[in-house]
Amino acid sequence: MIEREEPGGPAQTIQPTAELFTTAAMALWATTYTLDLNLFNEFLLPRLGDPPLNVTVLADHRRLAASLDRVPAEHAESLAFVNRRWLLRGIRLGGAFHPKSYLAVTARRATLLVGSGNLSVDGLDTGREVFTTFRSETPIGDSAIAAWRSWMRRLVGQVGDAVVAERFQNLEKLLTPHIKLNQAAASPLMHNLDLPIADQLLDATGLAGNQADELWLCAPFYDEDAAASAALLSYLKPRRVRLFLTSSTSVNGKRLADVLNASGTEIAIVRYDPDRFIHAKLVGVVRGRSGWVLSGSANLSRAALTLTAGANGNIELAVLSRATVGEMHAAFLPPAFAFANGGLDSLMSLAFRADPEPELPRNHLQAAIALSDSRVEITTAQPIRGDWLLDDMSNQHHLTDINGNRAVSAGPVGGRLVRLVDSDGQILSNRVVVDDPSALAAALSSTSTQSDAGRPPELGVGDTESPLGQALVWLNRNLVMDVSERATSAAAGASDREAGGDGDDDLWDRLEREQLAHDPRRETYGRIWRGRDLGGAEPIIELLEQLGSRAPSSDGGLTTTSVLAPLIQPPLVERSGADPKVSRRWKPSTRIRVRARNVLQRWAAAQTDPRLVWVDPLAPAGNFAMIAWVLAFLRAERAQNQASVELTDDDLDDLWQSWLGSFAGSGEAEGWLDQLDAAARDLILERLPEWLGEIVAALCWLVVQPTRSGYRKRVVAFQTVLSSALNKNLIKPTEWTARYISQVAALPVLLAEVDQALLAAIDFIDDDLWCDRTADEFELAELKLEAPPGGADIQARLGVRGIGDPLLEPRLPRLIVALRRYRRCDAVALHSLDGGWRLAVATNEQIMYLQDLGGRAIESSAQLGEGVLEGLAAEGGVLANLFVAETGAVA
Amino acid sequence: MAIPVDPDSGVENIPLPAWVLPSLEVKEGRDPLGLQTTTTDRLMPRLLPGILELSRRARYFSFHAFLLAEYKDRRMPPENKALSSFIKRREWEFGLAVQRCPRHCGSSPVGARKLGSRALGPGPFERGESVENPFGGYGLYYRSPLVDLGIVARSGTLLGEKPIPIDVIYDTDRAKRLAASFKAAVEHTVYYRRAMWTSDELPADVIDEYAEVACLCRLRERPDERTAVHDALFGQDETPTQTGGVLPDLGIALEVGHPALAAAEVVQRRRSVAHYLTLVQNEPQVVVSQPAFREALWSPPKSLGHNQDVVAGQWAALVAKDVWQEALCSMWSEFCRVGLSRTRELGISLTWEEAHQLASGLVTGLAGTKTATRTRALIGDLDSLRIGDGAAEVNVGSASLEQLREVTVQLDTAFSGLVVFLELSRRVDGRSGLGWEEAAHIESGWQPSLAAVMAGLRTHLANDPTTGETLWWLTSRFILPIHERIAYSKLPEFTFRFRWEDGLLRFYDQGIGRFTLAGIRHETLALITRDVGLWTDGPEPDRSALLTPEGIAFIQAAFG
Repeated sequence: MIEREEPGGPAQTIQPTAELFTTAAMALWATTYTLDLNLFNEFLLPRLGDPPLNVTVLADHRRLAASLDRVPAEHAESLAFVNRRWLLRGIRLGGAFHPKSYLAVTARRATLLVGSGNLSVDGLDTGREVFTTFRSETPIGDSAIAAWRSWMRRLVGQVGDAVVAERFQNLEKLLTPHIKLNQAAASPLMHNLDLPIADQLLDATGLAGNQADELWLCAPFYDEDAAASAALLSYLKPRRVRLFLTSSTSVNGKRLADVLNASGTEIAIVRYDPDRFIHAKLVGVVRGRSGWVLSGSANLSRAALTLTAGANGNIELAVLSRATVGEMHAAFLPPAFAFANGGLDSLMSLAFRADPEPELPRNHLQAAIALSDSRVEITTAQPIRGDWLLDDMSNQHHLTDINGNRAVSAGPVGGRLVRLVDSDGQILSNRVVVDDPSALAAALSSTSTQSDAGRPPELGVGDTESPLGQALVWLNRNLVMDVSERATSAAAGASDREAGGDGDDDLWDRLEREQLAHDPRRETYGRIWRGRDLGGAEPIIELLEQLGSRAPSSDGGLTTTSVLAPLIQPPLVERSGADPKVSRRWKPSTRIRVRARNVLQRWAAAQTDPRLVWVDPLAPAGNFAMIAWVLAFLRAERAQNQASVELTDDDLDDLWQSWLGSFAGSGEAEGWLDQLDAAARDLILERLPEWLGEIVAALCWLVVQPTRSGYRKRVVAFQTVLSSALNKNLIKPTEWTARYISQVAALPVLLAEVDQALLAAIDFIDDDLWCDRTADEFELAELKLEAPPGGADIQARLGVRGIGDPLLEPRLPRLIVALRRYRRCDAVALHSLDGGWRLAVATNEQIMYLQDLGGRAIESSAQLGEGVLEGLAAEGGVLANLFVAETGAVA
Repeated sequence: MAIPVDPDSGVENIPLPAWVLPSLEVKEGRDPLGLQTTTTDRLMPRLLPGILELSRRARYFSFHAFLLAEYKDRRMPPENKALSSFIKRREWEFGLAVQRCPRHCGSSPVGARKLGSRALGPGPFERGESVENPFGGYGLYYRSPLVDLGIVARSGTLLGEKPIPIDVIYDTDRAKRLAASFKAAVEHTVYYRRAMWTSDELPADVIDEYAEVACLCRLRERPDERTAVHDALFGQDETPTQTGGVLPDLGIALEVGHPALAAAEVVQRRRSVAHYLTLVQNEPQVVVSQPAFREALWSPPKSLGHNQDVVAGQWAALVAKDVWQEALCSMWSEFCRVGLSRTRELGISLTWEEAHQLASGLVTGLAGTKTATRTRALIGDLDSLRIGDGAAEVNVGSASLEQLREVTVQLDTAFSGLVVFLELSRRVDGRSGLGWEEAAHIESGWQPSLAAVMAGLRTHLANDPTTGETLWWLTSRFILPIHERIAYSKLPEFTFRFRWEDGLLRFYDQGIGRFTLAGIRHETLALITRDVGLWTDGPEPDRSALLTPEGIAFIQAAFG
């Protein structure tokens, strides 16, 4: 291992696909040298959201032409989306078009990645590549994105393609709200439209005329003469050079060694272990204990580093970052790799592999655009001749209306991939994919007919227009609410070979686990947890965006730590300034109400399905958090405009009770949190987003609000769940809670009053109501709370009608638990109102059982431990478990 | 652009580059050409609705119905976790009983692997759960059939305006009888009276007493229960207004499948089973030999009339589809094998033309046949053509379809696949009838139907292609685009064996080989029909399967 001057920690990592290709995207622009068309069309594009969506890819024209040239007629359908749903252009501006940059814009923010990876599987996923990430609303992010925008504006101007320019205008509009230009923040990006990157590197490091301590070089491709390396050595005059190599590094080893020796610098060879191709391009400059890292698209070649684009150089884009030496070590080391010392011989063994640019036909076909009558208008770089034909892989079409470098096909063109040929069929130009202007325009502006995709099965096609419907669809698309909705046909689809293994239940078990673990929605959960950007509120922001331009303002929205804040605003119709009667597009109806309620109830019941954690270990907690926010949102919407939400306040209360009960339980250990061991529960409670507690408090207060009618019934029905939630520290009212409640309930409520109301509800007692409700729940003929016997330790006494044998009755443990929770006591006695049995139960005492009044008292085989009854209640166990078998209790 | 020079200038640090972390996970892929799914998801549910490949033992239907009924009657917690735990524990105990069957029947219970050799011990036995999966064997193998049969209302089914939180047994006579019949068998046991509800260790005598009456093999001796299972599988509820009846107490109809559809499924199930019994009657080996089963389905005995014609046509089309699958699989297998090898030699992926040449050139393994040989000529030679390896060599024209299927599986070459496919096309040529047409026209979301493939072949042959061209026709239509589309749909699981990348075909080495046929309920049908007493072992010495009077009556009832 090479020495490490100071610790740099593990390398930072990124998953560009997950970072960029999300349903929230409104625009995605990419610059790339090579492009995997199939990957983009079949995998990446579908991950993006519905229109309006501005997707534009600019690729090197030679590589693109070569790629399109290889597309056979039989495979042309793979281009169906190209230049319809998204725009593809080959860029022809001097040398190779080599920058790798990706800009994704959502309603909330813009994200720019600049690095070494092309738009391909290797470039974005499996290759050894690096990217630097910039996000809007940070000074450096805004600066980088603004610089990228300026750079792109210049490129678009030079390309001179009206379609590209129009889409760039659209992109600029989308970017405008995100970029706050800070004149003090200089751009971290480097391009070579004006100055060679090497020159800029020298300027930026301030080392002109000085000597660098070290120069670190890592790139897959050098120029044949190592001229770029020589230039860097000349500029920076490092005392030592570290070359990071693999056996696939393309360089004339001997020539590079000569260059290094000539400079008089000390040479250190660092080999990557394992010895695999690394595509990242990194230059490090060390001065003292810190330095700079140059990353991006530029290889160690003249065309990339020492030339400008206008002087036969490539077009490149790079990032210069400051770093400590330790951080530089981490930045040069891919995950799962190690450094190994190498000798000069390993440099000498390297060879330069020429990778000539593909030869192109003499004429350059710039674009082809379908006209409304299905003819195609073409634009070329050279004047068009009258005997040229347009070939669409099926037919050859004469050209008319020739006007310099523009012409139109004489008849309709059916194929989507065209090029120019002569009358002998000789190829005259590169191929391009025909633009479909109306489809491209629609992609920028229209809403999709796919907006119903992902709706829960209960909802009809027209049920998803309202905020409620949209929220349900978003939840269903982005979270796994009910595992059983996923059809896993493992057992149905067993093959003969698999079915041959009798009793191989593990296989089917494992298969189902695997299927669930690969649900693409699982990635949403990772963004909910504490410690993430925005305190785990990122999915809420996306949901807000889905709900229609509800992105909160900076002064009252999610820039505070509260997710209730954006709800305390005028409703949508007022916010947009529109007439509410005009802008409301949905029609509340009983049908939607019933369906939505069913969906939410079904989902609530599904949270304790043990398979849900196979999707993500914390999936139920993530679902709960998001549902809590959605219910809070719906309450706020109703408060502003009742008709805008189909569910009533009572519906929303019921749903909240179901969800809170399924998550926190009601003291019978039936909630999802109850099913975890203490360590796991603590971990989850620790990771729950900070904003959850204030929402839980708000929703609980709304259920037990003192001024609403039916207080007694609501409180008695809810208090065990409320108490359980409080015990688990899920209720954390804040000032925002009080403000939210004040708006939703339309009465001023102070924070202290929120606390008081919740505690009063927990303390509330109404024996008759409790007995009626509990008897109904347990399907018992009668329950009767009676005064405890005087002088005894028994704290509560309950008469029960409808249970014959209490020892083998699964309802008994649940009933005892419910009684103890209601009365907040431990020692209770139960007796039959229609038989003779008696039971006395207290923790750390033996249970006393009397089969009938004249019989012998039987004691449980051991003292009743803490939590034993709760455990029995949760799993449907019976008290007989606690008595020796000889008791003779039988069904 | 100006770069911040001074690190202390107050400018926020520029982020350092981060390394790309892969998000794609390489997997083998189970159905790379989308052919298994035609059988699993389209054909089998149509041909034998309500019976899964692994729902094999009839008594599990009554056992699980019994468990759900007990759970409901005792008003146990309406929570999935509690229900799951209850079922898995009871399956564990049931598994112990089956393994301690006093008759040593050798049945394999759900959870056998987890039980291990515990049952061999002297007891008492610890408590446990059958399978880790929620709801155990019920969830894996029997829940879906019981729902389809109208015995169980799945959680989420609407009860009035609200979905029910857990699976509940319907309150129909058919469902109640099913549950009650198992209960009648065990209710006198100590196990039922106490041990089933408690959690202390299980004495061996308690399990043995339970095994005496509850083992899977004992169903045959319990006519009432057998009738109830029979009725669950092949009967219908008296009130035809709904498939599943009503839930107790509230009497509110549940939202279930369309009644007419459910009735049609019952008829289909009966006819498929009756057809199976006629095959057993004609060839007893059908119950133990999958090749015999497949061959019998292709060449069934004389039909008992129109209804059997229909169902026989359906199953024959299923067998033909599987032969098509195996033939195509051979072509796929060699294409991948040779493609990978070729790209390794070249050091670069293949162009479209090179892929074309590669597929067309897979005409090997038979002297005299070349890429340029006309496919029609090859078809003309099929009657006398011999393919195979050594002792397994067969005459194409006279071999059974099942023999041909086995030969191409063994040879695993594109040419053997082509030969079997062409011979299949000859043999299906004369097939017709309602059932055949229906099943032969069933397609998957990925692959066209067998009928469409055969129609495509006829069109293709009209141009008098060479064998090389026919191989390319098959590869370019049924292998190349299909596999790519399927693999893309699986991302981020990376299951590609090849894909077009930058206009070139790139092959991936991740376990190239054949993919298996989906189950067609061979063993399932054998076990269930035996369990419900439709056939039995015949007399010594060979103990060949013999239809019982109930089995013969079943055929009569189904086909008149």
